[in-house]
Amino acid sequence: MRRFELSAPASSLVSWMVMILCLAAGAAPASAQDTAIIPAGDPVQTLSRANDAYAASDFPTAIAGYRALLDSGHDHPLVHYDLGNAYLRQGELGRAIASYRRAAAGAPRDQDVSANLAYARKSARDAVTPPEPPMVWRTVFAWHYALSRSELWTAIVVLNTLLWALLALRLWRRSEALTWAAVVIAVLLAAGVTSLAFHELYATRVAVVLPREIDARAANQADSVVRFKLHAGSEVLVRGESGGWLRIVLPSGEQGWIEAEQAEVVEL
Amino acid sequence: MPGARRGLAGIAAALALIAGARGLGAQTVRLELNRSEMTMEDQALVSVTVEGAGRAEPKLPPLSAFAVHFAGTQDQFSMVNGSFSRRVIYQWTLLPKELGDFAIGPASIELDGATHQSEVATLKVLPASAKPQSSRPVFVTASVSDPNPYVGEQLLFVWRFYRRARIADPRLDSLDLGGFLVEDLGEMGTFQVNEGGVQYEVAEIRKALFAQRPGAITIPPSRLVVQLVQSSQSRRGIDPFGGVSSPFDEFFGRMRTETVNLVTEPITVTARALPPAPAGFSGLVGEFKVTSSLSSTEVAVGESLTHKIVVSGSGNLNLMGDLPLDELDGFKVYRDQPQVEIRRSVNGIGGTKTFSRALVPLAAGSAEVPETRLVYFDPSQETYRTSVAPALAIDVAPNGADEDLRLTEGMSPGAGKVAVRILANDLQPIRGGAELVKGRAPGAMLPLLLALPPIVFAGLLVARRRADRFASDVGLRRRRGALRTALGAIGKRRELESRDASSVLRRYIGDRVGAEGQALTPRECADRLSALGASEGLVGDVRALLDRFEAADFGGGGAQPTPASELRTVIERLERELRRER
Repeated sequence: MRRFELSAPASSLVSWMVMILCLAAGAAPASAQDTAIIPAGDPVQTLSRANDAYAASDFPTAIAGYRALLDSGHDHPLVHYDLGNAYLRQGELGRAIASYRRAAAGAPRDQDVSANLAYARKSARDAVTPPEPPMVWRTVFAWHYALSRSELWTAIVVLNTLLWALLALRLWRRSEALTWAAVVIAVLLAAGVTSLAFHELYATRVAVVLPREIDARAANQADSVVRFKLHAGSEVLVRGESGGWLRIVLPSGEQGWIEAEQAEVVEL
Repeated sequence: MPGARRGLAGIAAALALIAGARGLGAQTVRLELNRSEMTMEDQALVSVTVEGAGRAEPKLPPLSAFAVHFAGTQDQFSMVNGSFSRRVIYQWTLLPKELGDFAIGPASIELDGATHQSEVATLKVLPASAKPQSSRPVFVTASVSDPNPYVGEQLLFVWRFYRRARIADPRLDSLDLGGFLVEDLGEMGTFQVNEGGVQYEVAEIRKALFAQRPGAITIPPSRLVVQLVQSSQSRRGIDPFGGVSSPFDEFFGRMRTETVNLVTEPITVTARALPPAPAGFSGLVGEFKVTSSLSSTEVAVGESLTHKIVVSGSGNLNLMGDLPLDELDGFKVYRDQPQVEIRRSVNGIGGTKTFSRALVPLAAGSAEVPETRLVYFDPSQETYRTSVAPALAIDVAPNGADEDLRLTEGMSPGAGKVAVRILANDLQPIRGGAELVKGRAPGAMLPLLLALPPIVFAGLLVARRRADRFASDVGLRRRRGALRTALGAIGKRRELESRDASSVLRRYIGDRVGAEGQALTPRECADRLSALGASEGLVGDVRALLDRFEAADFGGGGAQPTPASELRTVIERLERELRRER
C-alpha cells in the first residue's frame, strides 16, 4: 500500500513555518487589543469636526478631535499625519515631529508624510541627525524598512495562504516547478515573519524633545551635572528608562539622561 | 616585583580605608575657585576637595546663572609620619549665562547621616566688553544695521569673529534669530581688518532680517567656543610673528591649548508698526519701482502679445501679494504665474518680481493698456510712495479669420526654458477622509487567517491518503463496492431467475470475503460469512437461499423465479451486519 509522505526537508520546513506562524499569531492579539473600540461618538463626525476646525485655524479643537479618534482605536497613519499638521500649525514642533514619525511608520512610502516630516525637521535647532538605520541595512533589508507593519501582516497572510495552497497542489501533482515555487514563497514568508518579529520584539524607541530647551544630565537626578542641551524637535535614540528619566544617546555616541515628561517617545 | 608592588598598594589602600574609617570626625570639604572675576567670555574652574574618608561625592547647589560641566576627579593618597590620608578633588567648569555677583557654594557631602559643607566663594561676572578688545587675541561681535526698524523693513545682522592667534576646534552655537524672517546673505566671508593698530583675521556671517510684528525683539547672545593655541612658555609679546605663538614653539612642541568661551552682547531691536496703509498697498517695504512693457504694439485680431510688469528694488519681494491689474475690455487675458528672482549681496536682498499675461485682441482699432501703480512703504522717507508705469498703446489690425486662441508667443523672455524657482514652502494639506475611520485593522481575524490554510491542507492530506489507500487495495475496493455492484445487478427487476439470483448473491459474498464467489459452495459461503461475524440466523437464511438456488439450478424445470425484494433484503442485511462487525 502506497502512503503519501512529505519529503524530510519539506516536512521540516513546514513544521518550522508552523512554529513561526504560531509565534506571529501569538503576537496578533496585541494588535487586536490596540485597535479595540472605545465608544467616543461617531468617528466620521469627529473627523469632520476636526477637519473643519483645522480649516478654520482652530488648531486646539482640531488636535482634540484627532486625538479622540486615535484614543478610540482609529490608529490610521493619516490621522497621525493630520495631527502632526495641527501640532505644527500650533507651534508644537516636538509633538508634530512625533506624530509625523508615527505616520511615517504606518505609511512609509507616503510622499506627503515624508514632505511634512522634512519640513518640520527644518525648524529643529539642533544639528542632530534623526536616528535612521544605515543605508546598507535599508538596501539589504529593503522590505523591512519599506513596508509598514500592517502591510507586513497582509503579505504574511497572502504568502501563508499561497504556500499551503502550493503544498496542497503538490499532493495531486508533483512537479519541480511547484516545489521551487513553494521554496521561494517559504523564503519570502520567513523574511516577512522575521521582519515582523523584529518590529514587535526589538522596536526602536526614539525620543522627540518637546520644550524649547532641555538639559541632558549625566545621571537620572535633577542635581546631576548638565552634559549637553537639546532643543525642541530633536530626535534621539532611547537606550533605557529609569524612574521617570530616559537614557538617550546622540549619533556621536554621547549619552545623557532627560526627564521622560520632556519628550514624546515613538516606537518604530 | 609586580606582585610585591601590588601587595604594597593593597596594604596602602587598606590602611587608607582604615584611616578613613577612623577619621570620620576629621572629614573636611573645601571649595575653591580659580578666579574671583570673569567676563561673559571666560570660564571658571570650581574645585571641591574632600579630605578624610569616605566615597561620598560632593554636590553643588543649583547654579542657574551658569552652564555647569563636570571636569573630572583627582584621587590622592599620602602617608605622613606613618598615617595615611586620602584627598579627592572634584572639578566643574562654569560658563556664565548672566551678569552679576554670584555665590558659589557651599558644596556638601553626606556621610553617615551627617552633612559636611564647604565655605562659599563669590564670583563676579563682567560684561565681555569690560576687557578692551585690542588686548584680546580673539573676540566676537554682533550688530544690526538699525535697532529701530519698521515691520517688514530689511535690517542687516552681522556676526564677526576676530582673531590674531591660532585657534582650533571652533564650535558656534546656532544663531537664535527667532521673531524675524531670516534670509541668508551667502556663505561665511573672511577678510583682514586693522583694529586699533592690530591686524585681525575676521570671519563674518551676514543675514537679512525682517521683523514680523511691532515691539521689542531680543536677539540673545551667541556663543563661540574655540581652543586657543598658545606657547607653553611665557613668551607673550615677544613673538616676532605678532601672535601668541611662533613656528619655533610648534616645531619644538612647546604648544598648549586653552578653551576660550566667546559670547556676543544681546541685541534688542524695537520694531515700529507701519503707518495706516493707503488703498492698494502692495505689502512691500523698501525701495521699489515698477515698469510695464509689451512684446509688440502692433498686432492683428486673434494674435497674442505679452504684457509684462516688472517690480524691482531692494527689500523682501516675498512679502508682496498679487498685483491688482485692471481688466482690459476687448481682450482675452491669460495670466501667467509670477516669477520672483531674489538677488543677495552683502548689503541685503533685493530682486525682481515679474507678472506676465498674454493679451489676445478681439476687435480691430486702437487700444490702451492702462498705467500700473505700485504702492510701497519707503522706510528711509518714512512714508508710503507710489511708483507708476505709464499706459501703453496697442494698434490692433483687422484679421480675416475669426480669433483663434493659439498662443504662439512665448510667455517667458527669450526662447530658452526658465528654471522653476521654489518661491516658498509650506505643509502639505491634511488628508482627512471618512476612509480613515471606516477601515479597521483585522487584528482578531489574523490568527484565523493564518491557521485556516494549514487546517485545510491537513484535511486535503487525509483525503489524499484515503484515496491512495483505496486505489492500491483491491480487496478494500471490492468490499466497498460489493453492495453497489449487487444492487446494480438486480436493477429494477422485480424477479430474477434462480441462476441470476445465485450469481448476484455469490458475487456479493465473494466481494465481501475476498474470494471468487462463483466458486464457493453454499457451505463455504456460510462458513466465510460466519467467520466475518454474521449472525447465525442470517447465515442460515443465506445458506437456505443458496441451497434453493442450487436445487432449482440443478434440479431441472419448474423452478420458481426469486423475488428481487427477497434477494435485496438478504444482501442489505448482510451489508449491515458485516459493516457493523468491521
